[in-house]
Amino acid sequence: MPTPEAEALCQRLTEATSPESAQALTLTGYAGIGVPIVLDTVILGAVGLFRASDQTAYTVADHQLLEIAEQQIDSAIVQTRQLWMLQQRDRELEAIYRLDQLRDENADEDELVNGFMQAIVEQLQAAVAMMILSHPDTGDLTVRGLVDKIGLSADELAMIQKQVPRLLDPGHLQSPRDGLEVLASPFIVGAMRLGAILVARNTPFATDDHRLLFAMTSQMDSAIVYSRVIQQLAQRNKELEIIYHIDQIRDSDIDFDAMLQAVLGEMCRAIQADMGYILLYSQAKEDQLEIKSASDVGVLPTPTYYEVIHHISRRALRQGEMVYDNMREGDVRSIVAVPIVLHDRVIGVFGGVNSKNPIGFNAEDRRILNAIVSQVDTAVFERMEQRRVRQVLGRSVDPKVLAHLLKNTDASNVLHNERMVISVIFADLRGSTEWAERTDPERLTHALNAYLGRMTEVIFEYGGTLDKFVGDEVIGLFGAPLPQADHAERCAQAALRMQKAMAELVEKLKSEGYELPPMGVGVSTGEAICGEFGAAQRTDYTAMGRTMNLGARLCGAAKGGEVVISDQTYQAIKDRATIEVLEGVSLKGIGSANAYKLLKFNG
Amino acid sequence: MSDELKEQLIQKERQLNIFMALDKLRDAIHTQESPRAFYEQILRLLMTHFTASNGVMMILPEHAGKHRGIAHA
Repeated sequence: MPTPEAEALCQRLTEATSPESAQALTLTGYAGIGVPIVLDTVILGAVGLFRASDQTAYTVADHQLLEIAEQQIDSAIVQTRQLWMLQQRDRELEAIYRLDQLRDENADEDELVNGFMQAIVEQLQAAVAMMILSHPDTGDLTVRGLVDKIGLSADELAMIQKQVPRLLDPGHLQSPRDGLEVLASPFIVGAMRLGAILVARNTPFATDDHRLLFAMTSQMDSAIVYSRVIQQLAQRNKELEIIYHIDQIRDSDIDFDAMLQAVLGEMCRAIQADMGYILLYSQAKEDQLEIKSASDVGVLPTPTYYEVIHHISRRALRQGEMVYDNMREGDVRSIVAVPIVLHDRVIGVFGGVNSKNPIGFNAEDRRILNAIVSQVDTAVFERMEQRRVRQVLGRSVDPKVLAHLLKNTDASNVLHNERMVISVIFADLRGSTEWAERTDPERLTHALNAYLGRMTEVIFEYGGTLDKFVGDEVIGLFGAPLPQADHAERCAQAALRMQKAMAELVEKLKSEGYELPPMGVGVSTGEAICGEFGAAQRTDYTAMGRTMNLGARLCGAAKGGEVVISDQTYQAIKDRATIEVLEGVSLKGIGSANAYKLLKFNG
Repeated sequence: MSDELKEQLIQKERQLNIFMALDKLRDAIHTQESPRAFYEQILRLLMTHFTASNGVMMILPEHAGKHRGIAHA
């Protein structure tokens, strides 16, 4: 029997103007009777019965009997519909209850998704259930949960997956396999498209299945959003906790290396890294990075680690941003590196290594790493600057002055070259060339070292900075790098003290059988450029300019035991000191200059 | 018994048999897998009682929609 034709006849019966009557139906090769199914004037459908044309034709009595039978069928149809609807609502309620339970029991998104997939498979008797969710960071749609009982191939899964972005309403998707029906329902919360739920099975989905999937999806989308919010909250809490710990480490009174170790340890715990590293940008060799610290020194020295860390660190520095990599084989499986940049200056690279887990550091780990770096960059920079100041000034100033300097000033500015008004002291021995020629080297060394040491002590005693030794010449600075309002007086006082100390030393050495020539001292005050000078291999803190030149010349003009001061020094101390004007002084390279002999400070 | 009465008796018996059979189906309505299965059973019953070689039943959707239940036999 041609089915479409029979269906058309039934359709015609439902549209009949007098639905209460059974009708004779004529179909090619068949003779039949049909009746609309009507309850209280509402047409529910129709039924048609056919016999082949060569069989006995239906009689009027058959028509009447079908009409009477219809009266029994109509209420049965309504009854079955109601019953079925009740069952469906029960099914939906049961599904919703189950999802609610899953939601209450699982805050973790992975567990929640897996639970949802199992529930869908059971409720819809599906062969495949798949949840596709947008990634919280990138927005990319990825398969987050999958139950596959029929072993779909990667291509088949991809074919289903690629239809999701176009999905706006629940409905059927193009199936990748004959006989398999795919039903999908999108996840849309507010204006946010979260993804979709897809189910597939080998039997057709009915309207009630659509309803059920839609009801379940509605329960899941809000649960996923809620789970994500909870997860984000937990992550933010974790970040805050880490920042708090890092802050404690940063503020603790521990040395630089210990601070780095503590920070790395905290970082390893936070992002579950096997090893953390900090490469500091070497000041001496600008093209090299120096590994300063690692949480596991036993692992670090292997050539593979060293190579990979340097490679990725250079990439991070080149790109000026965090980089990360996952490797399928080798000692290092996952690595991440963040450049430490402060005030446009590259300080180094901070990172973590995972030697077991090839999954790598996720977006949350990377967020935490960035947070840690932003917390420690200033501290690392400051400690590095302090270390540099120590290296440069460690032998030039009294340790107490250095400690005061590091504690009370910005280390990054201490060595900064700047024009300052300072006072300088130059002291050297008279007739030292002849003395050196006639003295045994060992005896000379002994006496010279005693002299240089004692003069340095005096400079430190008055808060000065030892600039350098040039042979037997001692050069000291006052008012730099630590500014001193009374630098001229300090310098002049130190000069007098040096002469006194020299006299004492000469007497002492004489009693021991050593000789030390007399010392002349020059003091000048004025502007000079002070700061760190030198090459990458070595730098010194020193001062440059006319004031230095004048100090050296005044020293040259001073006789043994004398302190000769410049005009500007004289102006600064004249009210408190006894000073004698030196007439007609001409200095080499300077010419005629006012010069004074400092005799003593009054009172 | 006249032929007319005989005819009436046969008709009433057919009617009774259909009612009894339909009632039996209705009593088992709770055991049906789906409405479609129930409609198919009604159609088969009618076909048996009306000695039909073919049958078709169309049920209109309860609310306007794309799907409707159609049973063929």
